[in-house]
Amino acid sequence: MMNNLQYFLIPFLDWHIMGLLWGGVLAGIWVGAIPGLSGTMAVSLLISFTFSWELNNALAVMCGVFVGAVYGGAITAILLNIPGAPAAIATGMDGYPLAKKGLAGKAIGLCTTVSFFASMVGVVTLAVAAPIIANFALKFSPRDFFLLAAMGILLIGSIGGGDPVKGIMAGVVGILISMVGMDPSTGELRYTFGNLNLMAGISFVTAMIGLFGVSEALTQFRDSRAKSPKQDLTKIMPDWTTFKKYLPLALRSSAIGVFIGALPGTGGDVAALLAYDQAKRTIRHPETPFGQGALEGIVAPETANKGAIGGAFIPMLTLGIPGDAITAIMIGALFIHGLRPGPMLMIETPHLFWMIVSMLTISSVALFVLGLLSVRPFSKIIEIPKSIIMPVVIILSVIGTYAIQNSVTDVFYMIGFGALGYFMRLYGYPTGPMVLGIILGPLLDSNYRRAMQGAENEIAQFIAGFFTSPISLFLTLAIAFMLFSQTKTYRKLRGID
Amino acid sequence: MKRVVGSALLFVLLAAGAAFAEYPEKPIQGYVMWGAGGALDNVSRAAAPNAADALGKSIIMQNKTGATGAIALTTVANAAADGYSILFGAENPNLYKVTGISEFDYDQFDPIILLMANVGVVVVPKDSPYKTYADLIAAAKSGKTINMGSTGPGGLPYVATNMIQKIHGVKFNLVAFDGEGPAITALMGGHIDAVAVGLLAASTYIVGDTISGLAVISPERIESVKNVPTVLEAFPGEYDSYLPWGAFFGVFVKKGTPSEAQNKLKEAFLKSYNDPRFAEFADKMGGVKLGLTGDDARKYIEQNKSVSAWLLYDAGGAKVSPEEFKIPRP
Amino acid sequence: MSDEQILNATAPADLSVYVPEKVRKPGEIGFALLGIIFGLLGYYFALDMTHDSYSAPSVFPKIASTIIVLCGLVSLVKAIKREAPAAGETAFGYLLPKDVIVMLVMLLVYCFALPILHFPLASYAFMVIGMIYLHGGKKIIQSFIYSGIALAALVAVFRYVFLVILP
Repeated sequence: MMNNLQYFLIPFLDWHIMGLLWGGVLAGIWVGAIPGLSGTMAVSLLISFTFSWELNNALAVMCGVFVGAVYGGAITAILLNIPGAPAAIATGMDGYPLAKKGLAGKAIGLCTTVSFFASMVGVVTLAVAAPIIANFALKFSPRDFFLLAAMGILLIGSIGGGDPVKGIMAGVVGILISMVGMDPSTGELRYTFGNLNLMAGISFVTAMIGLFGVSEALTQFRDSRAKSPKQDLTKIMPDWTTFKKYLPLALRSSAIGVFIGALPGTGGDVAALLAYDQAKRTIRHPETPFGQGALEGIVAPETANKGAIGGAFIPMLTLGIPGDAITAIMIGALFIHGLRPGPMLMIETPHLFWMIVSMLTISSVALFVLGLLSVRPFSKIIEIPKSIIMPVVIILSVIGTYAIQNSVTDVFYMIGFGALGYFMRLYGYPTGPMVLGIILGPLLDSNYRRAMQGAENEIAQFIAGFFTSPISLFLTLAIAFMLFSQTKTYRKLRGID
Repeated sequence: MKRVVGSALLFVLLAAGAAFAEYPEKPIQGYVMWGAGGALDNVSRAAAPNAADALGKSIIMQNKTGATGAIALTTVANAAADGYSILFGAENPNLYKVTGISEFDYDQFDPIILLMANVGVVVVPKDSPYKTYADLIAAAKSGKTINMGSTGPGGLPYVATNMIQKIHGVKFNLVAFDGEGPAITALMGGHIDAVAVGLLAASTYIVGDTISGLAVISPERIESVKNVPTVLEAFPGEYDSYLPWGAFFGVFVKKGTPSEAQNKLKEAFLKSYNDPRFAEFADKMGGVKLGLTGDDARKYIEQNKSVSAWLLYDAGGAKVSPEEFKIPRP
Repeated sequence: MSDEQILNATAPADLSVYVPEKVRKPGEIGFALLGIIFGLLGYYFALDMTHDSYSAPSVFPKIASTIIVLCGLVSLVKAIKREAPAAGETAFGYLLPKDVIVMLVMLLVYCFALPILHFPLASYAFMVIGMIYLHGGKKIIQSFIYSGIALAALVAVFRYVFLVILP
């Protein structure tokens, strides 16, 4: 125990590691904020960059970038309605309306504060309960992942904000788009028409940048002489009463985040979407309706994706299984530095676990401080006249898309999605569900098929599975409740309306 | 007129200068055909920094994924054969022709070095009723349903599983995963009964005793998991025509790349390969160091191609017969 | 004003309860038809995929295409039932006001110019022309300066920090 404390304190006392952590977070915020640049990309670049460094230093800068990048995604989502990272999609739904009202500072300030809180929830959970959660996460079968994805899909109804039929249609078109390419589990080519570029599939980041970024820019050109909103920057940091008000929601969403993050194969993006949905269902009377600038709509996804950071380290450090894309790369970094990440890691190198816990703690503090400091300069971006900012946003979308895979084809897709998104908006088809469909489609499809194959392709056996496994039963009931809660009978029973 | 002649002269001089300049004179693009965090990515990123040091120019690594690596391969095949675009590739292109994914494969490339081999290993959960490889095969023969993890046609698990099914005349219930990692995760949770995967993906869990290795699909035992027997120990003789077989990770350049550049690259990567740090990395990952260059590398690739292509064809996973491409039967 | 008041003062009507518009937008029927055609094509091409079991790769594409067609039909019927848009309003005019057309055309030209002029020059030109156009032909020098700053920042980050080889 004393040893563990000692390991925990090392990064606090080593100003070199400290500097790398703070620098990493600052860089990460920018990486996260720029669409197309992702934490995954930054951390894999860092592998070569830190090849000859000492392991602790390399890990410090990677942890810092990871934490910063998850946070940075929210900034562009709030200011420009272009999520800098997939985990911030839900954040923009209420964040951008707030920015349009001149409340970007308040939104980012609250986001920063609850982010710090959630990130700490994740770290503490990692420190005290990692082995238990990791073993529980392993119990999730393909059928349960299918149910989780289905839960996410139900969100389509709640993020549309218009005609539900149009929302569903947009979401399902997204699912169909996600089928394009080579099916990873059977190698079958779907909707590729013999084209090699289509075989690679359509990256959801490409679609996201187009559907949010370029279509937003085009929509703004309809009214390009309109003034940009003046931002109120008098009160950035939320006061204690505000914080206390959102505390229960923040705690719930962080818990969702930690757990979804700990599940191998799902990360902050899915966590944020599920948390947003959860908030929308449980909070009946927000001050402002969801979708028009509800602060709850920022708190829920932003706490979930920060909680998912600590969560993703849980299976990585206890079992050597990555919790998300970034931890997968960090496992590679550990191998390259001569360690054996896996079940033996905590036994062979116990100090590593506590050092990472401590590095994540410091990163969270750095995030809080640096985040609050950057609210003012960032908020100024949105005050720049549209005629200047919009051409820059378009070029940023182009270069960001290109950078994902160094592919000009992706840029064409992105512009195509931009035009499509613009037309969809004008006819009342929401673009959010389409991105959701593209993200969740593969999760839904491949886990359904895996579960079906596990049931030897027999419908009866497949359906029986939903009621025989406790986790599946719980998720099935939860989905049934989510559907029931939409009906009039339920609203009558609860005395709503 | 004078100006035109002048600039033409200048151009010729510059071009000649470029041809005579020492390779490499600018950073090299390294295309990794699988995603960040995967086995190939780890091997490539472990080898590249030291090679870049030896070359004196940086190697810019980028993952270009999709179509089991065909996107990256095609990118390099379409780039100039000047040694400034190099491919970090795995065994998958050996099946592009029979699966109809692409008309390009390693025939259009020269191997610089094969860094590491990845042999197959059959693993089961720790509390599995199957204690030996013979147990597993016997259970399959008795007609019991065994849920066996797999990946898409062409992946190591798919080919290895078909090899086992063919040799022993058994049939598993295949559950397809997106990759080896997710299959092992499902195995740990007890959602499948067994899976044949590459040792690189499994060795850390076998060493950590969270899953059990029943047999390595290799003629000899592997150093990093010494206590796992080979398939030959359980079934002597039956695997002979297929072994040695395994996936590989290597560095490739487009055919026609000047030999000067090829030799420089070979030298640099051999230096990186012989670095003690790479050996330690290979051992921790559970990979078998190969270090093959030139004709040896080509021979290794062809052997893998022959076994995999025909197994895939016999299992019904190939669109075109390997005969069409004059791939000999193993 | 307290925070609450600010929020309430600017909050529009509650949109969480969906109130359908009375008047159809120009081209709405056509857009719904396009959706239906998309779904039908999706189903048609899914017929070629493996369909030997309940876990075949074609299962989800078929389900998804069917839902698209159904939703498309519902949207179509809803659109037809609404009042027709005011005479003289065309789909083209509604979708593509002048500024949008100009920007879309510029974007297309930019895409085709990208491989020829390369990223820095093509992007600089796009930003300068875009800004000058949106300013209504004014603030020309300002546009050149701002575009230069933006371009320098983007190239520095992507090319030199993230080592992306720009087109």
